[in-house]
Amino acid sequence: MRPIYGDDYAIACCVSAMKLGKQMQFFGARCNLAKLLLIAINGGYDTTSGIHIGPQMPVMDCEKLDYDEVMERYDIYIKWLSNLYVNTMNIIHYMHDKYAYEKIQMALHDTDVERFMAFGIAGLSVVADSLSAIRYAEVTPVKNKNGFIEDFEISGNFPKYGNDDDRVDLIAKDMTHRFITELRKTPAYRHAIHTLSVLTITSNVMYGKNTGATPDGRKAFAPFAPGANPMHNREENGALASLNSVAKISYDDCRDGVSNTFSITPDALGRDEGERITNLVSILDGYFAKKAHHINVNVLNRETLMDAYENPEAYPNLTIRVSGYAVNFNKLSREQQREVINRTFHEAI
Amino acid sequence: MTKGNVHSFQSLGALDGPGIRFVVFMQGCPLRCGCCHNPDTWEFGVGAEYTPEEIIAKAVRYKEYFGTEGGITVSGGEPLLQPEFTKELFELCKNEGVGTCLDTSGCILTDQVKDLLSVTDRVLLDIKYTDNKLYCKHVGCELYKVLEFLNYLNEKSIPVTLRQVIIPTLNDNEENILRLRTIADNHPCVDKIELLPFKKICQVKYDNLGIDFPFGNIPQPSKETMNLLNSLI
Repeated sequence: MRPIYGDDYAIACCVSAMKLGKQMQFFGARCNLAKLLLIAINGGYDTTSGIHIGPQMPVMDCEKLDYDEVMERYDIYIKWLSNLYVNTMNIIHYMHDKYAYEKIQMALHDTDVERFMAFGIAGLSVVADSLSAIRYAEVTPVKNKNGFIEDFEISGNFPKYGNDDDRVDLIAKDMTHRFITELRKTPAYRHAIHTLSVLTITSNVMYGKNTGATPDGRKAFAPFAPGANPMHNREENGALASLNSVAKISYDDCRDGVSNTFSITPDALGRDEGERITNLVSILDGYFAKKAHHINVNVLNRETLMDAYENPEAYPNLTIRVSGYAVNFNKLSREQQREVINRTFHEAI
Repeated sequence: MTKGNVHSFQSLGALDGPGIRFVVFMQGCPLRCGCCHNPDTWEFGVGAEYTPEEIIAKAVRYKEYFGTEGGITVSGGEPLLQPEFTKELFELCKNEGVGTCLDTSGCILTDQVKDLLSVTDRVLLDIKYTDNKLYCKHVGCELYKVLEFLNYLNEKSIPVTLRQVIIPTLNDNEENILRLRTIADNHPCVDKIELLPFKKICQVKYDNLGIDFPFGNIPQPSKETMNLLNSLI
């Protein structure tokens, strides 16, 4: 971040860097790329809400999904949504400035402030694995009685994001590049600079809850992985392979931050306190040498979280890190707690 | 080109040698230890084939994490069953400035193994029991072979971490630890002793393979036992 923002920058929100007093950002939610893929395949129809919400096209009609055909279709919908997303943000922030301008905060900034408009994506790993499945395995769409694709049958193996395998990691990297490139095509309110984050905090549970089954084998309404994380339990080569995968997402495409939430058990880090500290330092040094942007580290046992889930009164101060936040475990919803417990813990083998 | 038969990889090895290590688990082992936690690596020739070049290409992707201490560890299975391949891999590591570590039972000492040791920075030597009767019964090999291997390492001044899995009722006693210490004292190449608690998390692997876990009825050692035995080292 220093080459871009100089020394006098700070992190706003979770992982958004800004020059102090010289820059501000219009904040702006996220786009569920996994859901968009399903809408694209269904020609603009959303099977979860049962309404047509995108440009009308025929439902993709094929025995098995073809990568190039899907990408061609997906691109049309990415273009449509990017334009809609920027315009929606423009309206929101115009109205926000009109009715609730942040006078006091802005008084602390330079007169000619530089503005960012922060866009975001959810479901990056789901999309990367889905496209990888379509490309490297055989994905047969399953239609419901109304003729819309509601599920998928997958046969064969496919590389999964989180294993340091370029075949799929570069799909994820390309997706962020494609999306920010499209966003930039629609000018933002007050000449703001478009930025993009891959960050969900705990909302990955909610995004998942509103998204049908995906071609990567994820069941309907199951949670997404948080932020830029690989999907739970799809890592086959250990923790560093997973870090390498996330480190490939370019910060130039995602100036609003690439968030990685990492959980590891103390035993997997070393045999004693000293070793664990040295090894964690080596892991962090290595990750940032790979030009990664951000990581939250939780060193704890899954059993602790499971116990805290059952006996919250015994853990009033149990704090865990999710995305850029440290949160009190007890203040998460039951569903979010379950999702945090299900996240991949890197354990000693 | 020598090909190796590999069981799997672990990109974050923090327990198998100094620092952060990329661990290669070789497929195939001549021993049948009752406490083995990787029975899926026993059968020879059923893993995936890799050339040393292919493996070094994977390992160097983690070079940034290795720091000054870390590197590659070849474990198993038994890496000494594939000495030529492992030697070629270690030579490539040397060219790349990646440290080399061998995790072995030390039951084989052929000329090829000696060649391999000439490019090995450290050996993690798992001396399973210090009593020959137990060694024969629960490993299927003779203790003297391991001691010969250790003598050779000592002669060549290759640093050794001496390891032992602590198994209740078999070797969780003071006499065993004292014998272990004597062995270490007689071999100055040993600069570290690691006692590893016997773990039963591998039961599921045995179940999947449909074979009996020989030590399935033995409990895991308590923390107190481990602390006590560690205090004797």
